[in-house]
This record gives sequence, structure tokens and C-alpha cells, in this order.
Amino acid sequence: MIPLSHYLIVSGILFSIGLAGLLLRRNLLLVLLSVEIMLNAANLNFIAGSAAHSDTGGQVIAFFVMVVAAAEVTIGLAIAVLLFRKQSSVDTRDISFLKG
Amino acid sequence: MILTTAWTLLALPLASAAFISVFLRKSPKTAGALATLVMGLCFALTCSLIAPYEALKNEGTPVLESSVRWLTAGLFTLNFGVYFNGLTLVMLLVVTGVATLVFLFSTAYMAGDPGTSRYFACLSFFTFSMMGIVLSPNLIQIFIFWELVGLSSYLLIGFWFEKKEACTAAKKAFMTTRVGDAGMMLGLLALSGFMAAGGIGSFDFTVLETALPSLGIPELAMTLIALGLFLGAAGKSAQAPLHVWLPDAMEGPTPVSALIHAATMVAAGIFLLARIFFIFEASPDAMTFIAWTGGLTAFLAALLALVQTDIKKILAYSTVSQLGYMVLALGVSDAQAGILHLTMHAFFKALLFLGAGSLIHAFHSQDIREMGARVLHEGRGSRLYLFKALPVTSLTFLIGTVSLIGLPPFSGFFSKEEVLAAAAHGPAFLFGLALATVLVTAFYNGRLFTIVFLPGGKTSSHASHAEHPLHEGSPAMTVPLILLAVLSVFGSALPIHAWLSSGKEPSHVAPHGLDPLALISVGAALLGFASAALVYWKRSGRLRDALPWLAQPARVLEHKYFLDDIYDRWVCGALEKKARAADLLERYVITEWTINGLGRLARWIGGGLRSFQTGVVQFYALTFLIGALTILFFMTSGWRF
Amino acid sequence: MDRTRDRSLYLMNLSLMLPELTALTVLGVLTLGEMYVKDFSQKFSARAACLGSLAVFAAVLFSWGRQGTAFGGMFGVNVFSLFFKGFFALAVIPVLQMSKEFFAPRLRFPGEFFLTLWITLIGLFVLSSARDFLLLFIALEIVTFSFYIMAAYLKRDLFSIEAGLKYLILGSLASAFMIYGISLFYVASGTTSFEGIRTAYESGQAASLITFGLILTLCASAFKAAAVPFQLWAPDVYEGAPTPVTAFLSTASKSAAFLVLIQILFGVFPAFETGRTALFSVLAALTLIYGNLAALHQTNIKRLFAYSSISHAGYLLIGLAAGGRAGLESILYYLAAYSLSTLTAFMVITTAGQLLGSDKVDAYRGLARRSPFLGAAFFIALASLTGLPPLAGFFGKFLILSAAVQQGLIFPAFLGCCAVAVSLYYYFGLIKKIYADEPSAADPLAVPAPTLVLLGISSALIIAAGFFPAPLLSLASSAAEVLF
Repeated sequence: MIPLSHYLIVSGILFSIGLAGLLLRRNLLLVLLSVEIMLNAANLNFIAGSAAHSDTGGQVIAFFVMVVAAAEVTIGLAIAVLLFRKQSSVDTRDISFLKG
Repeated sequence: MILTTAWTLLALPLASAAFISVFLRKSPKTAGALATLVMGLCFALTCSLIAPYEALKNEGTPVLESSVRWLTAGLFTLNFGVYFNGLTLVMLLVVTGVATLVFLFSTAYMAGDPGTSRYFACLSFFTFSMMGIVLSPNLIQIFIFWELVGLSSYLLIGFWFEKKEACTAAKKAFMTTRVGDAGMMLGLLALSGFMAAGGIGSFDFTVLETALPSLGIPELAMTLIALGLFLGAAGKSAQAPLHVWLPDAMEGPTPVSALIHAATMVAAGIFLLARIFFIFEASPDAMTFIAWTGGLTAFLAALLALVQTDIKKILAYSTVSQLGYMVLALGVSDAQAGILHLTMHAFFKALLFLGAGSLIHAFHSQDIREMGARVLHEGRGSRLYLFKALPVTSLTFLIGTVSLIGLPPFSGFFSKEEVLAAAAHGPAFLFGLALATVLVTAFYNGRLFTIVFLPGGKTSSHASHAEHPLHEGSPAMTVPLILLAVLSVFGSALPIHAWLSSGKEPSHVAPHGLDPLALISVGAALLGFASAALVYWKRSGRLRDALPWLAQPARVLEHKYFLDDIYDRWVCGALEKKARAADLLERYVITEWTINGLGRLARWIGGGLRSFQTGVVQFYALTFLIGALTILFFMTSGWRF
Repeated sequence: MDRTRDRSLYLMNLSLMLPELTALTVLGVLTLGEMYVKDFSQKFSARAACLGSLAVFAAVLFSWGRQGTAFGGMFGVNVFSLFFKGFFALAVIPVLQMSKEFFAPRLRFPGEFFLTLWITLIGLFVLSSARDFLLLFIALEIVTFSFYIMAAYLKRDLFSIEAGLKYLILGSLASAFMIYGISLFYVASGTTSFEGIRTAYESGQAASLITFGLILTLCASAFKAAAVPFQLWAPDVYEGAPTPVTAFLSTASKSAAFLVLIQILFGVFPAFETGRTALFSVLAALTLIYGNLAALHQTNIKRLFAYSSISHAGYLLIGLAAGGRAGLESILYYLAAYSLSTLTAFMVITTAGQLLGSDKVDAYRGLARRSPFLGAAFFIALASLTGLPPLAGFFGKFLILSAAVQQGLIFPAFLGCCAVAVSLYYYFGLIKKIYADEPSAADPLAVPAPTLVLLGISSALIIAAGFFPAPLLSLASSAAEVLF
């Protein structure tokens, strides 16, 4: 059996990768992608926990999280489309009109 | 029943004042009528208390009190209520009686003045405050109403606030009495310190009177307490050197002077002395001081009246002088004589002031030289022309003057006799001063009367120019004069002594008949009056012109012993320097640097904080991350369990 | 954890969900009306939604006093959750009026907005009753997603899009933190129910994992509550979003965030006491300072209110730090008072924004002269927000600060008082502007009747709650008791 801690470490790494992507990528779509990665890191935890505690609940939760992630991205993409129509760009650095 | 009436008496003038100031701002006539009616009602109520009070006295319970608890602070409880005894009854009669007449007089005198409603509201408020003083059952409540009376006086002196002199006079009055009040407060505080040490928590007179001996206050402290309280009385009753405000207070309307600065407010100090007489009695040194203050004030003020040309100022100094008499009486332990003189003085002084008002109304001037000269200028040089043109005013003024001088059988004679008899028991010099004052009083009154009413063949450069004929005022003005004149004649018939005695002291025996003292004082009075008449009949009103050998003293008198100048330079000047320094401190250090500086600092920091809002979303995300990491770090390293 | 249960039990427990079911019914009505009734969107949808919220509020009242759990303990009903449900149901009504005023001229089908709003409401209801982290997360996401959509609703307005986008990106980050934290809870304890995790935490097993997860979830909740250092999204989103959305965001969303925080800190982790006090005292202090000082320079009224709401979060955080019955009670009272005042203020802002055509603070000059009603309502709302007695806001602040002092948190309480002084500047600056300055035009403003009625009611309530705080206080008290 793979020890639980290994799963935790991998999910941690995944989370960090996602986080880095969110902070560093300029393209909005890639930012949304990074969010997906972070959410899936959590999913990994749920699955690992489910295995460790022999409880199917974790897997159920993982499904829910996937749905939520999907919904999130949908909205995100919709807004990205709106933005693109206005600005002809999806660069995150360009959407800084509201400040101060 | 007595107590309910007492509470009503307290409430009515306040209600009247409130009603007038809210609803009757634009209806001066209604305001006047209402105020007068309310005051008349108060007087009627007071009279209705006479019989029940006498009945109670015969039963042996001459003191009534009713109060509600207001605050408690540690040991001390403060009640608010009413206190009724003989002294209260006498004072109430004086206050409500004279007030009603003054209100009636004012309805005619103030007609046409744009601020009439405000006048009646302030005057009603004053009456409320005055009744509060009279009805107070404890020292603190007296102090509160004391201040209210000071406020009302300020409002009324400065009534014609467009005149700069009126405003200055109001401020002067307020501040001078404030000095007195500060002394009173110090006395109160010292007393309360001893009370706290002795376990007494109430300032009620009944409680204090019985408890005072048991407090064991050392002599020096008792003297200082008494002097402190006396200072307050001295301020309100215009004793030297705190008398400087009273002549200036004549800037107010004449009925105000009649009510406040002759009959009631200035009497408040005398009343206080009588009310807490037991405190003063406990310190013989203080009593001596009081007596001397009274005597000296009486004499010095009388001298000052000699050089005044404004009729109201003459009467003002006369008031100061007579107040000195009352203080003197109290200082030599004859409280009843003092109160008796207070009552009689209220009558004839109010009469004289209202009469002066009537004269001012007729001549449109306050200068006595113009009044006399006008008569000449009319072409009717007859000495008795003024008596024919203004019969009521002239006759009543004469009655008032005679009563003031102290000729029998007018009421002023009896009260002054008692004061002099009491003074005879004191130091000889003081007695001599009192007698001398009788002479001077008669002299300046004679001067006043002669110049105004008996002008004899002199001309003056002060002829006035208005050419309409002289006439009496309306009945609203003449009726009060007549009534007050009646009281000035027959006032001594009132059983004041009977009311005042609480059965504890032997009732005061009025001196009668051909007492040698009576003969001396009457003689002095007649001498003074006659010599004045002689001196001023044909000569000008200025003392130094009439009697040139008195030119130097006259100059000192005209400058009011230079007291005003001394105050101005040493008191006001010094204070002004400090006030300017404080202003600079407040304006620059406190406001500009500290307060505004803090504000600028806040804005500057705020501006700096705004720079975090760069608008770049990933920067926000970065902040999020850093924040989370910081929290994580601190929470996990510091708080393990 | 075994979640299989006797099926019949589920049906019985559905009665506990009366408010939610009513809300769903209303949603159905609104949707069908939108689809099939002619002109429903423009004419009837707002009124229908309003009636619906009253119906839901009635359902909450009807359920008052019921206690119990459903769905295997995930969904719980008690005074605390009913308090919040009633609160949300009432808060929606002014937002509905504002939305009608705002969107009716701008959109062809404003009814669709109401649908989104309604879904938010359902999400808030479920959130109030969540006793399990999964349900909490899902409900929270429902609310949050609806807000993303509502913020970006003005599709052609760049600011609205930007607001929605910023909210989405940062909100997703926060959600990711939250779900990761929950996953750690799960890994540590094998359950996501509040009870289970509480037991696990208190028994000390896998303490570091749970603590780590706790911190992450707290960060995510603090984000929603707009507390320092997670508050940078608020000014931008509040300014860019349509005004009614901002109003709802600053009241309902903030209340939801604090609901979550209370549930986590007092329902699941009451044992985290020292950490909670320390952490939230610091956060409260920083938030108060940031919110109040940065507000001093603002020229856009919605942005000003964003900073103002950040500073109010500071006060609420003091309440969280204080904890205990008194602390919780004060938070609940404060949320109610704050929401009432903010909704009143935003009603004025929406109407003024529509009639004046601008959201700049400058445009509000002399507002009171052009419309005394708007001026008076705004005055009452701002005075309550400052904390002026005898209004509701004062009492809320007083409760929180006294709870803090009672628990020994003197410095935060002191900062709270200083903060009131600073906030006087911008609140009263506004009041001065609307009363003392000259308006740019002198013609009176025509305020729509329903807005007037609502303004009247809410102003009266603010004053009433200030004079007679007892009813609301006892309500807050009984709600707070549940957690002890």
C-alpha cells in the first residue's frame, strides 16, 4: 500500500503547481486551468482519505467537487468570452481599470 | 395644602415662561397679560397661605418640608423640594406682590418694544428662579436656583442687546456675582468636607441646623466657611467691593431694575444670610466681618449717590447702601431687623424705581437735570408744576423718598429704627457710620427730589427739545405706584415679626415712641433733606459746583473710588494676558498640530494603503497567498497543542 | 461514515426543510412565469419575487422552534439557522426593489436576474442549515457562483465584467483553499460532518493535518468576509458590480461568511480558543485600520462603501475574537444592524445613481435639498453605520466592544473606538455633502413609491432597534445559545 503521506505530498505539490499557475500565467484560460488543478489536488486528498478510512464518502465528495469545478469553469469561461468581446484580449494584466 | 401650593408657586412662573417663549413669541400683548395674570395668581395663592400658616404656628409646627430624592452620591443625598416657614412666607409675599405690580407696570412701559414677549418670558423665568431660592429646602438647591437667578438677571440686564453698554453691563454683573458664587461654592465644599467626616449626608437646613454643633468644625474653618458663603451673598447683594455691577445693571429696562435690582434678586443675598443664619452665628469673627462690610458699604455707597446725575444710578447706589444696612443688621445678629428692612425697602425702592420709570417715560430722559430744567423750559416755572402735571408720580415719589429717609410714621422709619437699634449693640464706630449714613441718605434723596421736583429759578444747558406736554402714564403704570405707596406708608402694619419668629426666640419688640435713638435719626434725616434742598435749589446738580470746597472728594466720588479702574487694570488686564496665551496654545498646539495633525496623518496613511489596490488581480492573489502563509506560520509555530 | 438510513426517515425530515421547499417552489413559479407568461419579466417578476420572499419568511416563522437534523445529520435546523434564514429572507426584499429599479431600464428580461438572485437565496438557506462540510461547501459555492454571475451581469459594461472576473479568479482561489482544507479534515478524520471532525480534533488525532486544514478554511472564509489580508478584491468588485448586487454582496454575502466562520470556530473548533482569540484580534486590528484609513480618500460612493464594509468586518472580527455567548450575541446583533443600515444606504445609492446618473461622491451634493426623503434616510443609515446613539448601529458596536472588554481584549476595543472616530470623517463628510452643499441642479428628484415605502420602513426599524434593542437582542441571544 502506498502510505497516505505520499498522497498528501503529491496533492500538496499539485496544489502548489496550481497556485503558481494562477499567480503567474497571463492568459485567463490558463488561470482557470490552474484553479482546476488546485481543486483536483483536493480531490486527490478525498480519494486518498476514502481509501485510508475505507469510507466511500470521500469518493462521493470527489464527484461533487468535480461538478463544482466544472460549474466554476463554465462561469469563468462565460465571463472570459464577455471580456474577449469587449477587449479582444484575455490577458489578466489588462483588466485593471478598477483600482485605488 | 400649604406644600401643594408651594409646589404650584414654583411651577406656575416656569410654565408661564415656557408657554410664552414657545407660543406667544409674536403676541407681546397676550404675553404681557398672561404673565401678569399668572403672577397675580401667585400672589393670591401666597396670600391664601397666610391663614393656614398662622394656624400651624399656633399649633407649634411652623416648618413644613416636602421633597423628592434626586440624586445620591455615596454619603450625600440631594433632594429637590419645597420648604415653608415664616421667612419663606414673608419672602414669597414680597416677591409675588412686588412682581405682580412690576409686571402690570411693564405692560404699559414696554408697550411697543419689539422684544416684549422675550421680556415677559425672561421676567417670568426670573420669578421662577427667585421662588426657587426662597422655597429651597437645602443648600445645593439654593445654589442651583442662585445661578438661575444670575442667568435671568444677565438676560434682563442685556435685554436691549443691540446696545453695547447693555451687553457689557450684563457680562459685568454676571462675572462679578460669579466671583461671589465661587466663594460660595468653596464654602459649600469645605462644609461638605466636614459633613462627610461627620457622617451627615444631607444639605437640608433642618438637618444642618441640628447637626452643625456636633460636627466639631474648628473655629478657623467655620469662619472661612461662613465667609465663603457670605461672599456669595455679598456678590448678589452688591456689597463692597462686589457692588460695581449694580449701577451698571441700570442698562436694563426700568421695571427690571425695580423688580430685580431693588426688591428681589439683590435681596437674595440677605435672604441667604437669614436662611442659614445658624452657620454664621457659629462664627463670631465672620459676623463681625459681615457687620463691618454692611456698615461700610452703606456709608460709602450713600456718598457715591451724591454725585450721580442719572436717576437710576442714584437709586442703584441707594439700593447698595440700604442693602448695607440689612447686612449690618444681620451682622449684629438681628436677623429679623434685616428681613424687616428688606421687606420695607422692597416696597419703597420698587416704588421709587417705578416712579423713576414713570418720569423717564414722561421726560424721555434719565438725566435728573433735564427733568427739572424741562419744567422751567415749559415756561411754567411754578415749583409745583410737576405736581400738577404728574400728580400720581410726584406724590408717590415723595412718599417713597420720605419712607426711604426714615421719617415716621412711614414704614421705612420703623425698619430703619430697628436696624439702628441693633447697630447700637455693636461697635461704636459702626453705629456712628450707620447714623452718618442716615444723614447722607437724606441728603442725596433731598438732592434728587429738589432737582427734579423743586427746580427753583435756575436754568441749565441741558434743556430738552421735545415740546409735547407732560402727562401721566396709563392706569397700568399709575396703579402699581399707588399700591406701592400705600405699602410704603402702612407696610409696618404687616405682622412680619410675628410671622418670622418661630417661637424659639423671644418675639422682637419694636421700638416705640420717643426713644432717644428715634429722635436722633429723625433729626438727622430732616437735617439732611433740608440742607440738600437749600443747596440744590438754585444751583446746578454737580456737587463740586454746588459746594466747591468739596471739589476734590467729589472727583473721587465721581470716579467711584477708582474701583472700576482698579478692577479693569489689575483683574481684567491680568486675566486677558493669560487668556491670550491660552488661546495661542489652543489654536496652534492643540488644534493645528495635534488634532489636525492627526487627521493629516490618517489621510496620509490611508493614501499609502490605497496603493495596495493595484488593480492587477494576480497581485491580489499573491497578497492572499502571503497572508495565508503568514497566518499559517504564526499559528503553527506558536500555538501547538 | 455510514450514510445509509431508513428511507422513511428522509421524508419525515423534509418538514424541517419547509423554508427551502417554499423557496424552491417560488423558484419554480418564477421560472415558469418567466418562460410562459407574457411580459412577466418586465412587469410581474419583481412583485412575484417579493411575494415569494414574504412567503419564505412566513415559512421560516412557521418553522420557528423546530429542531432536528435531516439527511443523516448533514442538514440541521435550530434557532441559529432559522435566525439567519429569516434574516436572509428579509434582506432580499430591498435588494429586489433595488434590482427592479436598476435593471428594468437596462435589460429586456430583468426577471432572469431575479432568478439568479433567488438561487443565491436558496444557497444561503442551505448554508445556514449545513452541519457537514460537504453541504457547507456546496451551498457556499452556489452562493458564490451566483454572485459571480450577478457581478458580471451588465455584459457590456467593462467594469461589471472586470468585477465579475476578479471576483471569480480570487473567489476560486479561496474556494480551492477551502476545499483543500476540507479534504485535509477528511483525511485526518474520515468524515466531513461537524460532529465527527470536532471529535477528531478534540481527541487529538492527526492534529497537524486538522490544524492545517483549519487555517486554510479560515483563510477562505476570511476572504469572503473581506478581512485583511484577504480584502483586496472587495473595493474593485463593489465598485464594478451593479449597485443592487453590491448591496446584496455587502450584506448577505458578508453575513454568510460570518455564518461560516461562526460555525467553524464555535461549532466545530471551540477547542481552538486561544488560537482564535490571538489570530482574530490581530486580523480585526489590521482590518479596522485598513478599512477606515483607506476610506478617507474615496471619490466613488460604492468604493467608499466597500472600504466601509471592510471596516465593519473588523468590528465583527473583534466579536469573533471575544467569543463566548456575549461575543456571539453581539456579532449576530451587529450583522442585523449593519445589514439594515447598509441596505437602507444602498437603496438611496441605487435611486440616486439612477436619477443623478453618477456614482461619484461629488454628485451627491445637496441631495437632501432635492429629495428630503432620500436625504433623511441616508442620514439615518450613515449615522447608524458610524455608531451614533440612539440608532441600531451604536448598540451593535457597543455590544461588540463591551464583549471584547469583558474578555480582556482591551487593545482591539480601543482600536474599535478610534476607528469610530476616523469613520466619522467619511460618513459625516457624506452627510455634510448631502445637506450643506449646493446641488448641481435644483429640480426635485422623483423617488419611486415602493422605494419610499421601504426606506421609511427600514429607517424606522433602525431607529426602533436603537431605542428598543431588546427584541432583536433576545433573538440574537437565543440564536447564540444554540452553540453553547
